[in-house]
Amino acid sequence: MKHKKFVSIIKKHQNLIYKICNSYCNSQNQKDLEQEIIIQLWNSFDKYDGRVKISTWIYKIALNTAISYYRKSLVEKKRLSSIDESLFSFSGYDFEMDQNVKLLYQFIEKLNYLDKAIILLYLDNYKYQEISEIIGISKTNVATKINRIKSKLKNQFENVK
Amino acid sequence: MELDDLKPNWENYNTMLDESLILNLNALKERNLNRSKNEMFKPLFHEIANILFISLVLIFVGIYSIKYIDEPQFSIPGFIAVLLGSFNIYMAFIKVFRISRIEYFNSSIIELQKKVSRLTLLILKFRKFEIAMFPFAIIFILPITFKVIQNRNVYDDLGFFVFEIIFIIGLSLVGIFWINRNLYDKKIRQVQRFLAEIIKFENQNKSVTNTK
Repeated sequence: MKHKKFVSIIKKHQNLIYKICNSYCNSQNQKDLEQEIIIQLWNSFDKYDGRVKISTWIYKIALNTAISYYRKSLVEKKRLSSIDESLFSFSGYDFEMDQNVKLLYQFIEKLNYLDKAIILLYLDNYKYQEISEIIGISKTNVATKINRIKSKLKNQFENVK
Repeated sequence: MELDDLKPNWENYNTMLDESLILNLNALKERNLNRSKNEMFKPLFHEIANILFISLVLIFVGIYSIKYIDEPQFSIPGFIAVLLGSFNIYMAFIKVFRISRIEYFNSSIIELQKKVSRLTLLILKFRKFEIAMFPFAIIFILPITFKVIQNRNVYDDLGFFVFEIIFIIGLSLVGIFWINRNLYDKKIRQVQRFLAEIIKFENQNKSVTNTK
């Protein structure tokens, strides 16, 4: 029962997990991060009390796991993944077809791990207040950080064109 | 181009992902979610096993040190070993307490990352200390252990006992130096760097708030 419910929630929010993995990892490590996020979500599933939206809760755990994964990769040498299959596959869509999304991912890749979290939440239409609660900084500071990221992006896009 | 100009592309991308992303249920099954819980509590199990093992050794050494209390050449090193071991258990309890108190699921990202980094630093520093203490604990345990198990007095052949001490300490010093240099010091520096980055991120924010 718990498993079924969990799978249905993951299915509903799979694009969120996919985007985080895509932003925090190269394709080689992506399967490992997918695995860690799914495990963390499963282990904390019983503790979800409905006080926040399920998508916010998933975002928080997935981003924390992605940042922890980055921290661990600084400390421990990562072994080559023993996982063969990715959790996600596509039916006929290739996001690389959209040049702007591709450029956006290239830009996100260059950001530090905390700015990455902020920009992903911003792009997914989270309000400043919600972002501040997830990240742990004030609303004003979220706005400042987003403005800085915006001007960085503007410069970068100007350089590309 | 502005970030906000790209939002429609991102929204379109989200819609396409919703329509075309497929969750691989077989791959999910292979992850064996129920067993994964144990993985998460590995550091906790490690410390609990550590506490149990050292406690057994301490009980053994403690009981026999009391039994041989009239022979201080056996009992005093035994009591010193008990003292060192007790300190080790105390450190393990601190680790267990700190690990179990981390709130993984309701903390903000910065709060959790800071707590975990500080805990990692504490564990690494304690491990360095534990490794440094280990050869001394072995040396202090030797007299009582040989006496109880083999009924042998290590002080009878003092030359050999001194040789053993020098050998254990010498070998350990080389080992400790190598482990610290190649493992713990490196890890500690990297975690400190990560923690400094988070604190810098926080402080940048504070200075922005203060100027408003």
